[in-house]
Amino acid sequence: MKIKASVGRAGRDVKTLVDLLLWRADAEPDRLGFSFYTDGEKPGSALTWRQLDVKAREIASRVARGGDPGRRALLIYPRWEQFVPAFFGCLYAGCVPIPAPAPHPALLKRAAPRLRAVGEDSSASLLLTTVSLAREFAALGASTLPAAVVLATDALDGAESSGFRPHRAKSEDLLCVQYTSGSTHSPRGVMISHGNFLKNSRYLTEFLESAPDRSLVTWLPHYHDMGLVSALHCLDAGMPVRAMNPVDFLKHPGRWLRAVSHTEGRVISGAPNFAYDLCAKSVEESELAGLDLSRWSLAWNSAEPVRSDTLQDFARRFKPCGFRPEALRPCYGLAEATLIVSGAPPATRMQIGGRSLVGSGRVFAGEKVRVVSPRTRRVCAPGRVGEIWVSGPSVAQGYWGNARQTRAVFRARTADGDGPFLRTGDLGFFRGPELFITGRLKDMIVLRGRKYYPEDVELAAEAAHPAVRRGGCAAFGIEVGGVEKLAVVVELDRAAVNGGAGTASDVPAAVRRSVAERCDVELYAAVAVRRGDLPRTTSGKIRRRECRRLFLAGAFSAPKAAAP
Amino acid sequence: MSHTPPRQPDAAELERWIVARLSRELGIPAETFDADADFTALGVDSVTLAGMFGELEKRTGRPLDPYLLTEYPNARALARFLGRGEA
Repeated sequence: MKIKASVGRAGRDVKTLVDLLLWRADAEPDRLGFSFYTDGEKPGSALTWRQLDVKAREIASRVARGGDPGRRALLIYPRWEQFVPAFFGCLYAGCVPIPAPAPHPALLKRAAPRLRAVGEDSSASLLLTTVSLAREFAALGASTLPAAVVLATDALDGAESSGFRPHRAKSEDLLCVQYTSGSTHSPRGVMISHGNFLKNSRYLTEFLESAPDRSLVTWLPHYHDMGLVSALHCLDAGMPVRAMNPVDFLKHPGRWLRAVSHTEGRVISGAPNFAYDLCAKSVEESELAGLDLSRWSLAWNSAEPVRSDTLQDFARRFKPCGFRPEALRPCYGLAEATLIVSGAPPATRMQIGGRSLVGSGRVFAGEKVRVVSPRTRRVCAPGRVGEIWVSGPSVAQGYWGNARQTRAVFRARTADGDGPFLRTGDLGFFRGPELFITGRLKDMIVLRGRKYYPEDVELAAEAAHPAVRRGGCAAFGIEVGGVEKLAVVVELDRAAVNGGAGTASDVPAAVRRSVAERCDVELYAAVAVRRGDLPRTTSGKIRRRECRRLFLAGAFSAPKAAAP
Repeated sequence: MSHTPPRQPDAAELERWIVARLSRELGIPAETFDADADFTALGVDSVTLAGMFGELEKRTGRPLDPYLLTEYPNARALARFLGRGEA
């Protein structure tokens, strides 16, 4: 049975994602909703809309026992096939799901504090996870648990739950809380409402040209805004999702291309820039044989700076497999605006000061974007670089439990009182109707599409070794071979060194270890310098950008660090 | 797996490869890289570990569960285990 124009059909009475699933399960129960790769190569289990609805009811009937609507549930699942039913089960039960990254069991201990920070910030009362992860958490001890009550949902007994009545949320109710980084220092949960989601989903349909006869292939993490929203959007578009787990892609990037090639019909699939780069560089010649990428109709690229070189390399490398260069579509968005802000029509490129800039397309009709001087708060003249401010129906409700940051980030007004706007912290300019992104206003570091706050890395560096001076660390991104990497410079505390608190030469290794443990991100460079070597403002704050400039100029060399 | 290596690499070869791979990633000279230090202690993150496991799967021609890391947490131990060719 072919259902066409499902977007239109779903449109009238659908106010929430719950409405959407109920409608799909009723109108086209036997159509494929999700299918899951077992190991990145072989197709595994699948769910029709009806089957997803049944599983969601089953989970919801367990979640809903004795709980108030609106309470938060942390969702920690390694695999898409475990996550998807739990997400909808949570919604059916009237809970607000909070997707969080599932650490590998071997790394659970070091990930536990990050998960706990999310649990505490969101005051989640419930943890939904798998039997095996629940066991690992139990082994670590109750104090490490990110939420008080644990429910394993992957081994429910299939008890009768057809009588369960799903909680019918309202458009303005929260769909989920999206934590944009694993920050322990400043966790920020973006509150996405059902209304935000549905509006953004319409932009996605326009941008991706989503349709019931196409498929979304994804290996993106379900706990990341791009992975989550793009997949959920398929319920709106009536389009099946073929999901692979991120680790399976990271092990063998060629699996992404094989998944696209093996999927029937036209395929929509996108990722951050690093993934295209990884494929262009690491997929082997022998893997190209038999690949058919001619039906890859749209390959979006966002969540980190889009590199012109990457687009060219990828297009050139996979052209023999039928890949069409025009399928590559840069776009711009952020979790604070649900997902996508600009992307249509095909982006253009331009040269500025020796740098090749890729445009991020037009802003979707319905959202208002202004380029504003962060200093004067005046709207910049066309072509001038400023901070990107967004206002419109897909701008999220704010940060969970953080009125101060919500005010500062989501309620900005221009000098002449226009607003409220979301301050994205990204810098860019308009050329005609097209938005170009040039950099970041804040010191946020983006690695492989994930955001990291320098404060988190710096706190981890401080805690690494007693000889590291408190408030004497700078973390910043540097480009190495076209890829963003992380560097940390720390000042040594002479008193602590002389007082026998370990030797200063241990410091860089200790910093690497601590940052990996606390933030799960590795350093390309860890350098120790003398006390007072880091540039500061008059009020004593470290000037990260100046640190970065000095670092790149070679001012913080290792020999100097060896003699504190 | 679609890749069958022509020959099983031995432990020394695998260790050299792991050290070279990670020292490049971390910006540490291979000569000073401690093959006995745990990957976590060296500051390797989970994304890099996943990529490394994928490449090791190609080199050894068998699937590797990252769970191995709990038992073989450093370059030397992992290379020795893989070099023995045990399943």
